[in-house]
Amino acid sequence: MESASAAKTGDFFYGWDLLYKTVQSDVDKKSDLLIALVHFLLTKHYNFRCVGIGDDKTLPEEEGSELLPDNWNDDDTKYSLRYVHDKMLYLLLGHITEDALLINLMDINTKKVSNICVEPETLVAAVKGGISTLMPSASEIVDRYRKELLDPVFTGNSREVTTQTTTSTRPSGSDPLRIGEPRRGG
Amino acid sequence: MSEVKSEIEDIAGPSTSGEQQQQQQNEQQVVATKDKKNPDLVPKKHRQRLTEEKKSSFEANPLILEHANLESVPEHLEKLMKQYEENRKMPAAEWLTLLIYLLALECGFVEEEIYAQKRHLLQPVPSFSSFHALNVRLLSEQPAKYEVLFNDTAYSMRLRTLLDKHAPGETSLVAALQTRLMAITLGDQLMVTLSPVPPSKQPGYSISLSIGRYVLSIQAKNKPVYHRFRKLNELSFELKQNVFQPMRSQQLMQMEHKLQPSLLGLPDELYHEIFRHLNKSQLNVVAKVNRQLKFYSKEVERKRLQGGRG
Repeated sequence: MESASAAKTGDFFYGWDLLYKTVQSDVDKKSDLLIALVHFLLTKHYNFRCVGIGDDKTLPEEEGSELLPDNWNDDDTKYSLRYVHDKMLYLLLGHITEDALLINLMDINTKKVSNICVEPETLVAAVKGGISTLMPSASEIVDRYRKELLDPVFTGNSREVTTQTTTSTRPSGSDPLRIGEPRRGG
Repeated sequence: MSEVKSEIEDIAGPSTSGEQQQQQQNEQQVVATKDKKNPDLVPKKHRQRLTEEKKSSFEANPLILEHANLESVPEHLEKLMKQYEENRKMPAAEWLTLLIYLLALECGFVEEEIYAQKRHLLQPVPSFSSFHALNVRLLSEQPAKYEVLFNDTAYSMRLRTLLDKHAPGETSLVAALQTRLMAITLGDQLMVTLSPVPPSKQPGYSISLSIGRYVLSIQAKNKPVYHRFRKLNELSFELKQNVFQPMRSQQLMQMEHKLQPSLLGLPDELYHEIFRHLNKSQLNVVAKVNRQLKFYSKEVERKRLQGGRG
């Protein structure tokens, strides 16, 4: 619930305009913006640092950057970005199929992998403008990114909840005997 | 000989199903009964019997991939592999994708195009089950249909979940049964994702598999291709537990199908038959469980009152 309310406040997307300005000239398709939004969430709110493109699984020495690397969207159908958090390497992969963008996030150490499938044509309204012009449902997209992409793989805290005392909810897939979400009576 | 034995143990390993353990327990119970009659011969007979048990612990005709071994594999594995006998130089990742496809069949999934061709031959699959041997064998008689994408680094197929004979025909509900399987090669790993087709916002399920763990990079001469496969029991468990069964359950829940025989999945008339044996306070307890049971328990009370007035 904290993540849902955090994404709706004005401060959440502070920093997006700056990131967008650095990649505006590179952006040539709608899925670029969805990947840039994941990058923004990872670097701004989860303290990930980007260490380049590709799928090399060796932990690099460089500390990484909050910027998207050069040639990040050169491939017309695929994205492959590398991130470091707390000396752990993560791969962010994006594959563009005929009608959707499949995004995977993988922890190289534990081999845990998460996924989300989004529709660029539906979610991205424009390729130029402010966040609410580009992606009118950006808050909702971010909430889905948190729940489906980050929570299953990344066990650390995001910046908004570092001062919270409540613990994060465990992933729903951890109990092999449970089918679906817990049901309540009534 | 010891190498062959270790290979046999390797392909199957400890079973995750209870059936084999129960079978072994039954055999051990038979051994104990016989030993009581000849106490002097117990140690020797016990040693002999244990050796026999070990040899017979592998199924002669396994039904599913989980129970496959080097000597005997399920019929559907053999059938599908025959389609690819001329194509043995396929990359290991592609062989692993074919194994994943077979596990999808075992879990009640079918490739969309094949479904359109064979739907009149397929048997319904009840909600509380997923494996239908006849369906699986029929579907393995032809090559799997999938696309090789992204410079040969990914394999993609469209799947559809099989349901029972009451499966709906409405387009919107049929869409809920459709998924896309994507297996992406990342060096020595195969990243498998099963996701609902857009515009569904339901979550998908994914797992990363070590290619070399399940498909050897070497192929023995004059041996069937499935001799390259290892740890099929583990592969089966990982994919069924983390990908296929959760997706099937999610889809059935979405369509409000009951997943297993349960108190909530009975025909309406049976609730009266069961609840008429409860007294008023017991009915009140049942009414507090959920809305559905509250409705049925209140119905029973109402009929009881009407019967009393009559």
